[in-house]
Amino acid sequence: MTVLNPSHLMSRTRDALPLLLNLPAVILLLAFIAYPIGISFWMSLHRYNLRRPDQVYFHGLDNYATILASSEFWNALWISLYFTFMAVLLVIVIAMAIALLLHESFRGRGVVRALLLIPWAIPGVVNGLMWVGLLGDYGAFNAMLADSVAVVNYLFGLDIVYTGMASPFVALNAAIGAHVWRSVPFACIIFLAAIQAIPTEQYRAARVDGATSWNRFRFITLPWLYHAVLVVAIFETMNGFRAFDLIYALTGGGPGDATHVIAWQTYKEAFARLDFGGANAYSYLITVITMTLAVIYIRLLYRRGLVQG
Amino acid sequence: MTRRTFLQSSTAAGLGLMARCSPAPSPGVIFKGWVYEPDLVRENLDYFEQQTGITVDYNAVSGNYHDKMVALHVGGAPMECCYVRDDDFAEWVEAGWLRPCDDLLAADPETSATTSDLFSYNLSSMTYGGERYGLPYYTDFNIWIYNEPMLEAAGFDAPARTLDELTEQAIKVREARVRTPAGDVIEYPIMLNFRQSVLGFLDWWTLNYASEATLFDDDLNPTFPDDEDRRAETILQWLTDGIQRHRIISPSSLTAGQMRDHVASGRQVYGILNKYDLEYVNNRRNSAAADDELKRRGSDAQHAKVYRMAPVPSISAEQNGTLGWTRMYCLTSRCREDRMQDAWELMKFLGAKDAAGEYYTARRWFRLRGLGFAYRSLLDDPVVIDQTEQWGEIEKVREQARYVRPRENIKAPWFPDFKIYYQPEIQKVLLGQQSARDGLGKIAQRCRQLIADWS
Repeated sequence: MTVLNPSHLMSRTRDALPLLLNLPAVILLLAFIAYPIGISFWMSLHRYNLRRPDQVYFHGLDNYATILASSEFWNALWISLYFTFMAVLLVIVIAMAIALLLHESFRGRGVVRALLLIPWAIPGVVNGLMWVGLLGDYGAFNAMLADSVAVVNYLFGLDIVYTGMASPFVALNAAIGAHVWRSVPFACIIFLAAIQAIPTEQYRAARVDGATSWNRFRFITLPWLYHAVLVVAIFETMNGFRAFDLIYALTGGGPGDATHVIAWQTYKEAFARLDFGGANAYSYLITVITMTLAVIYIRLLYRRGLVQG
Repeated sequence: MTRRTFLQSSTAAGLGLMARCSPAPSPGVIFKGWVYEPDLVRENLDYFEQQTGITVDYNAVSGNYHDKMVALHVGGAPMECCYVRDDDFAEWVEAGWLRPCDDLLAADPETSATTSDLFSYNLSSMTYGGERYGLPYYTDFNIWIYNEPMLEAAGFDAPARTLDELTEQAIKVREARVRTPAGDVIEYPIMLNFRQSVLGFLDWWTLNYASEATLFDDDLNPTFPDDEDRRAETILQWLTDGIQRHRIISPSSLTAGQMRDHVASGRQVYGILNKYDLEYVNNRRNSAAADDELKRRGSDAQHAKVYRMAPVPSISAEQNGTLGWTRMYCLTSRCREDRMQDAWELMKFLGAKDAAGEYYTARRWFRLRGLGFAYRSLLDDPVVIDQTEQWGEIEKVREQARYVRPRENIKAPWFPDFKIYYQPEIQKVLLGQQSARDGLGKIAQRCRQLIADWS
């Protein structure tokens, strides 16, 4: 017969208590994160088109093979890569410049820092609609661009036809601009926090050594910001690849297939074609691509010793 | 409060909330539709409830109707009937979300008799696999419109009838430097709707049907780009030349939505609109063009016939045709048995006749918002005639109604796949990125592939 030792029992209870207290959170995570991730992967291995509910069956990696063999996927991938590359580059450069400015002391700095957050607070669709207003036929930006082209034509005797958002080049780059406008504040906050953590002694010592402001930025500020750059690059790569709401509102994927980014393609699979198997496969491909890029960033920066573990 | 009582009361509150969240069966007929004048819909339903004593649980689904309804159907949300667009109709029937109503029609001779009063394109749009699924909500066809004072200012007393004449006329209108009500010179006399969207690109079909092009055969195989006289290619080439070469069609045609607002602003001379939008663009409340004209005349009237309708320009003058579309009420496959008859009464009231034997709802929509109707006899209704004459011409409406066709492949199970493919490809042609023949060839090739996939 086993005799329960009271101290042993108390010890086991004490060990189990943290697990029990964490259980609700774990259950919620499993229910709302792990389960949808798992079920969506499972669906991506099925033929599952809502227009044919009686023809749902497992067909392995066929959805992935079909997508990888389609020209739409590769076209969307290249557009997304361009979109993401330009967005990450511009966000890092602009946000770092603004963060450096906002680190300086000037009157009203607090107000400017608060105002900076406004674009970040605007939902993606609203951002898109706002830019539709600015770049549409009656928009202020559109009028400025059209007038600029007219002036250039007049001055140089050219015949450039300005077609606004009907131009694939303008549409894609306008979408990137709108995306960058919304993304800069978040990156700026990260850079600002990182800049504030740089020891001021290093700048003082550099000044004593006669370092120019460019050299102080190049050899002190920038190395201290590599970690922040890594975080921003990863976040913005994910955001760039997932850009959908802006495209939905601003260009609708057009003109032609100029703004058919990969997230837009996923939406079309899911809600235009009702092909949930294919759409889930698209989602997983986006995840794989984003994760691969994140790993590349980390590897590159770690290998060069730019980011300490 | 102790920690124990806090936890107990929190748990009780949570469980209570969950209990409240569990769906209670609605006492009335559950009816969902997109957001168009929900207050007027509610007024109609109030009148229905008063006439029949049947309660209606109406919900206007905001945002993207198709996507949200897909989610509701997949999630098994309770629903007796709903609005359905002809664009989505085949998809929803194939998915098993809609219920045929032939049995209900057969048991209801009065409503069944209204079938013979329907325009054939509407009846066709509500029938799938030989079974009838819906009663009409509103419907219309596309018309060609022109701004009469602007045309007169450019020295023309009638609109062009063929596409070649239109090119010549539009070039002369542009050269005449006709001005908008705001005083700006009109750069591009023509604007069409070629924006990519789930309900877009109707103007492509309209222009093809105006030239009596047949794009698909009876088995829904594409006939283009080698259709009779290569009409589809000719029309697409005309559009491309209009944008790229002659600069008579605005490049904004590829991006602009809400065509009627562009027309109402008086910034275009020609365009394609839904017939019922003719009221909107000739009403001074919405239209700078109408207001400007009425002020010039010193008139207090509400409408000015600034924009007039004409046959859609075609390749040759003897051709005629246009595109029609249908919005309908359908019963869902989840319609509760004990609510079936009530739901059918509601469908009849909204989509056919009320208890007094009148097309009450269709007439009211026309009277209040000018919405098109699916019943031929309403074209002889004195109220309809009188009201149409304020902003249009009833004879022209009657004439054009004879030539309306629905999209030939709209009921193909692969229509949604086709829709997302052909729009970018045609835009690429219009942008000059590929030839009309190559673009149409690629679309035809994709159609054949889709037919094979879905067979």
